[in-house]
Amino acid sequence: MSNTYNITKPIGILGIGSFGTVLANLIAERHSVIMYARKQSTVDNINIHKKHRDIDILSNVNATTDLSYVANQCDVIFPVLPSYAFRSVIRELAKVLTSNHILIHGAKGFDVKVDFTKGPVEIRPKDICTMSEVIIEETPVHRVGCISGPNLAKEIAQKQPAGTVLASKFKEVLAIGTEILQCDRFQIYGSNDIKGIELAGVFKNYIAIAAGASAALGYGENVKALLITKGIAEMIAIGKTLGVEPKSFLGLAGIGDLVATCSSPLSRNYSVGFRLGKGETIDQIIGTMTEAAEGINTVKVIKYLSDTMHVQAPLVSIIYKVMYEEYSLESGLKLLMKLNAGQDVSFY
Amino acid sequence: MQKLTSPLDYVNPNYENWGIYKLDKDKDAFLIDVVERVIEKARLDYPTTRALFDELASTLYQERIRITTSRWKSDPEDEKDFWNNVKGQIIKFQKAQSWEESDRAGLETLLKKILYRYAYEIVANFKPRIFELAQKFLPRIFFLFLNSRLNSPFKFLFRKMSSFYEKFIITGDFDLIRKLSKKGTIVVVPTHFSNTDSPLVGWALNSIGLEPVTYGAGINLVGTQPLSFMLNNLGAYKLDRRRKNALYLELLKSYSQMAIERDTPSLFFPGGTRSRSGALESRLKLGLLSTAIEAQQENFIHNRKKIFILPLVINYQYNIECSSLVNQHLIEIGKEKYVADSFEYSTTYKIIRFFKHLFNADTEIVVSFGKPLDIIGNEVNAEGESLAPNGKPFDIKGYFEVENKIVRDEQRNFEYTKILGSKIVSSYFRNNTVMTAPFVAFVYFNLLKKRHKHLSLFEIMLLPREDRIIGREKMLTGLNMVLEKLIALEKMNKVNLSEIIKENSIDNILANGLNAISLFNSKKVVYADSDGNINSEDVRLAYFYHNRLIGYNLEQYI
Repeated sequence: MSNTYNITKPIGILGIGSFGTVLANLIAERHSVIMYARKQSTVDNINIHKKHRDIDILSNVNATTDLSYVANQCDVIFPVLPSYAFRSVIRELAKVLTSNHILIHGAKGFDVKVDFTKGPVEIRPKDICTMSEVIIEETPVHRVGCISGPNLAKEIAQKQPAGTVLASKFKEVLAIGTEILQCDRFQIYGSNDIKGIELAGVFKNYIAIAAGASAALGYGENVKALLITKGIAEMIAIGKTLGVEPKSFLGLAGIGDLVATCSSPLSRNYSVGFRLGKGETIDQIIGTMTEAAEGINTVKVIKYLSDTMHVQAPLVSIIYKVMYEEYSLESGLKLLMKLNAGQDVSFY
Repeated sequence: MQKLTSPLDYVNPNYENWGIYKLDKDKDAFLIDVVERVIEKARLDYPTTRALFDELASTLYQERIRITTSRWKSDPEDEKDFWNNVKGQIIKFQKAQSWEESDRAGLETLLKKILYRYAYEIVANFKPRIFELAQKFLPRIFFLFLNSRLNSPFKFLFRKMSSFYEKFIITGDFDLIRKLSKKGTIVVVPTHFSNTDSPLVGWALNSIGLEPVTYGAGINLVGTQPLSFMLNNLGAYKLDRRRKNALYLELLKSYSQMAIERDTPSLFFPGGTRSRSGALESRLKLGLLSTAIEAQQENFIHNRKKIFILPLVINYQYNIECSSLVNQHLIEIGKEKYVADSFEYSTTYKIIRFFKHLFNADTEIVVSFGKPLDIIGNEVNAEGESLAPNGKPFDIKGYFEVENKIVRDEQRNFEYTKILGSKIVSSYFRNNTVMTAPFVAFVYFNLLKKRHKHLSLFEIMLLPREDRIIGREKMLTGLNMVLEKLIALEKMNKVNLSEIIKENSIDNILANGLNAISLFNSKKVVYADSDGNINSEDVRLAYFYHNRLIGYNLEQYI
C-alpha cells in the first residue's frame, strides 16, 4: 500500500549557495519556500530585491535569519550546505527540530572525525560520516534523504531539463521528496541506497579536478574518457571499503554526475583542476574562490583513507601529489600512463 | 547504576490492575479484536476473492504437510478432523470456481474459523494463584542452582533469601524503570542463551517490583515439559515454530501487538532463538520487534500510552545447553567441514559428574537492565519523554506523522524497527558483563588460533591434545593484555566487568574462570594440566564461551 501526499506547508532551504538558490526557485514553482541565511543583507536581497547570486528569485521564496522560524514553518527542509559547515549548522538546527521533520540534503562532501588538514593521518571508515549520518547523529530526525546527480546550478537556473537521484531508506521520504521536486523539467529517480548515492556525489569531485587539469593541458576526449571510466572503477573500490555496493556508482548520481562535472567549466571542481593545469597553486585557487569546491578536501580524505585501508587508488594519489607535493601535472599524467593497467573491468 | 540487594515492592501492588491479568479476564473479547484485525489486514493483502481462496488453500496445504510429517504430543486430538473439514470446504469453493465479490463472505467465514482456532491455541492464561506459587518456589530453585557452600541441596529451603542477591546479581536504573512502568507499557527485550532465560527474566522483573509480562514460548515447551502447567498459566502465549503460513504469522503478530496496545507488559527475545554460537546477538529478528512500533503508532492514533523498550543482558558463567547449541552453530556454518559429535551427556557417569559439580562450586548470574528506550531507540527521562541526541526532550509522535497527521506506513515502521534493533544491540554490548569463564575461554581460544594461524576453525577443533596446550605464562600475559583493554572499555561505559574480575589478581581470575567454565560440562572445557599449562578437552566449547566476547575488537591485543 503506498500513500500519496499533498504537501501544503512551506519548504525550507538551508544554504544560499548557487545550488540552494536554484533549488529554492525550482521548488517555488509549486510550493512556498523559506530560505535561511545568516546575513540580514542576503535576506533583504531575497525578500526585497528578489535577486541573489544574479538569479531572479520567485515571488513565493522568502528568506529569514531565524532558524527556528524555518523549523516551525516547514516540515520538509533541504540543507544545501558545504560539508565544512554542515555539522555546525545542523547542530544549531537540532535545537529546533522535532520528530515531524524530514531532511533531504544536497551536500556533496564528507564529515571527517579526525583532523586531516595538517598533513597525512590515518583515516578509517569509522572516521567518516556522510551528511545523512551527521543528521542522524545530531538531531532527532530519522526520515532523511539526499539529492545527488548532474545538477549544474547554472543550467537549472536557465530552466534547462535535468534529472537527479533522490535517495532515502524511507519510501515515504522518496514519495514526499518527489512530490516537492518533480516538475516537467526536473526528473526524479529514486534509490534506497542513500549512502551509495551520497558517496557517488562526493567521490566524483576529485575525478572532476583531474578532468579539469587534463583539459588545461590541452588533452582531448580520449584522456577524459580514460579518467571517467577508470575513475568509476576507483570510486567503486573505495566505496566497497566504506560498505557500499557498486550499483549506485553506475547510475545518474555516479556516472551521470561524473560525465557532467568532467565536461563542464561550470563545475567548481573542474575549474579547480583547470586552474591547477594552468599553473596556479592550490592555495592561490582557494584564496579566490567564492564557493567551496568540495573536491579539494575530498582528495585529502580519500588519499588518507585509501592509504590506511590499502586500497589501490592511483588517480587520487596522483592528484594529491600534484595538489600538495609540488608534483607537476605532466609528471602525474606520465605516472598514470605507466601504471600496471591490469584488467579493464574488475570491480564485480 | 543500582545493584539490587533485596526485592523491591510492587509498583502496582493490586494484581487486578496488572495488564496480563486484565488480558486474561477479557480474553474472549481480546481474541475477537485480534481476529477482526487480521481479517481487515487480509482484505488489503488479498483484495480479490481468488487471492483469498489461494491463501486459504495454501494454508491448508501447509497444515496437512505439518500434520503428516511433524506431529507433536502437544498437538490437539481433533486436529485431523478440523483440517479435513477445512479441506471439504476448500474443495467446494474450488469446484464452484466462482470468484465474484459476493462469494467472498463464504471464504471469510472459513478464514475466521481458522483464525479463531489459531487464536485459542496461542492465547496466554494467567492465574494469580499459580503466579504466587511460582513466586515462592522459583527463586529457591534458582538458588539451588547457584548455591556454592551448601553441602546438602536441601538446605537451600531454609536459607535467608537476602543472600540470594549475592549470587543472582541484578543491576540497572531501577528507579527510572519503575517510574516508566507507571507511565507506559514496558516491552522487555533480553539476550537469549538458555531455556532458563524466561523464568529468570520473570524473576528479575518481579525482584524490581514490575508486574509480570506476557511472552511467547514454544508450544512444544508449554505442552510437554514438567513445568508446562506453570508456564501455561503464567502468561506465556504459545508459538508453533512449525507453522510458517502467512495467516498464522499475521495472527501471531497481531496478537502480540494488540496485547501491547492493551497495556500488557511484554517480552520478546529479539534474537529469535537462543544464541547458537554463544555470541551476543548482533542481528535481531525484526518481525516481533516491529509489533512494538506498530502498537505505538496505534496508541498515538487512539491517544493511548507510550511504549518503553527495556534491553536486558543475562550473563551466566556456564551454559548447560552449550554442547548442543555449539553443535548446531558449527553444523550451520561448517556444513560438510563439520561432522557433529555424539550428544554429550550420554553416559550415566557424565550425568553423575554434572550433578556432583552442580552443588560444589561458586558461580553467579548477572542480569543487567539497560537504559530504557522509546520505540525508535532514543533514551528517555523519568517523565517518559524521549531525549534527542543533544539531550533535549521531544515528542516522538511526529515520527508517524506527515504535516501533523498520522500516516500508517509499514515500510517506514520497518525502517524504525531496524534503527531500534541497532540501538538494542548497542545496549547489549554496553551492558554485557564480562565474567571469568568467557574471559578465560576468549584468551585461550585466541592464543590457540594465533599459534595455529594457518588452520581453519574446524581444523583447530580437531587438534590433538598435545597441540592444544598454551603455556601458563603466555596465558597470564594474554589475560593481562585483554584485561587492560577491558578496563579501558569499562571506563568508557562500553562494557561491564564482574566483581570477581575487578577485585582479584590475574591468577585468581584464571583459577575462577577455569573452575566455573567446566562446572556443567562433562568435559573440562578449559583447564590447567598437572604442569599448570592450559588445555582443553573440548575446543568446540572453548570456542562457544570465547564467542561471548567477540565484537569488542579485543583479538588484536592477544
